[in-house]
Amino acid sequence: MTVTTLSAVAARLTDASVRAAVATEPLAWPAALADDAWCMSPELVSLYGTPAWDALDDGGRRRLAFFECVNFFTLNIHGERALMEGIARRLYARDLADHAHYLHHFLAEENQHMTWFGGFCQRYAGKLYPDRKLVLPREHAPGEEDVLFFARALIFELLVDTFNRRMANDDRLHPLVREINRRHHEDESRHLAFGRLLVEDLWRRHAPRWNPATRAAIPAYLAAYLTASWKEYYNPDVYKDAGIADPIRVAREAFAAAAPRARRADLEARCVRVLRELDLWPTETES
Amino acid sequence: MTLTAKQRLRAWILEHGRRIDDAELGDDTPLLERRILSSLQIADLLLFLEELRGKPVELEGLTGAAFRDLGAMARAFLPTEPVAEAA
Repeated sequence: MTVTTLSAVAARLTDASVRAAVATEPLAWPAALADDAWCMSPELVSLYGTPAWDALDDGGRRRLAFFECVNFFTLNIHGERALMEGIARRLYARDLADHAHYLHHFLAEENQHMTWFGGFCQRYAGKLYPDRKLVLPREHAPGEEDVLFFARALIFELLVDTFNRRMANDDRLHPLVREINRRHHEDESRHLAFGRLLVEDLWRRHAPRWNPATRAAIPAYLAAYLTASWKEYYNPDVYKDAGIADPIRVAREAFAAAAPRARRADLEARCVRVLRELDLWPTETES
Repeated sequence: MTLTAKQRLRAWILEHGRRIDDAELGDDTPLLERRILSSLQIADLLLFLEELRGKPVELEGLTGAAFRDLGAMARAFLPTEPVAEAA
């Protein structure tokens, strides 16, 4: 991937962002959501297929799905906030200066997404779930921090986009939830196109200058990052709000259970394929 | 044998952190500096601490300093344990 190609893609995506911004109507927010509305596809609920799910009646499952939706939207807010902070810090940095115009649109869109997710969480749950992630400072090789930052963003966006695509097409869900998922997927398609090319460009440009140990550690780190991202979908705070006893134990057991593991493998398949294509996923001998 | 909260925390670090000899892990072993713990383990560690405390950890304003070593973590997150009186 050359810088010229990436710039051409950024210019095309900028035009698409401008068109999308003009066409976007404000969301219609109902005063309240019906108690029996599905807000998350049952098959995407973290506990689906576990004894804890089986123990819930229909009302309990819908209540859990509501709080899972609040958690999903919260994760989007935390992820997009970190993304915005990182991009704002890098605007007009040498590696990204050519794409600054598109990054302004990117930031505007991420900001708008946060108003949708935050609007939902605050209106209907009266809160967001706290962020348990903490980035600890450490030394990096030249360019390594940028590669990791944009690769983490790519993983985060690929994962949420898989949920968005499925829920946008699930007619059991409340129309507002479907619409938020649909709109987010539409914008994220552009962000993913750019993000993938950018990660490829940064990785190919910087990695050859690193020592072999630094280079070899990146795929293993990203695989661990994907696992850590998944753990956030098994949030004990959600289970507590849904009235489930011993929520930390339930989270630990659900994460390790067979049905959720199989579901994660299905949902992360696109993400793993992209990372593998970029040589950013551990080979059999590394994993 | 019943372990104290701090002993359980120490066992968690030995099990989940980058490999380190049991004898090497003291109260002041620098966990972040030596990369025994990384950013990716903090969320799991926080949940374990919440389990040990029996109540949530206040996350706002939390920094890496609270995870610097075992002693710092015990002071920041664990209830004060009774100290045996000198004979």
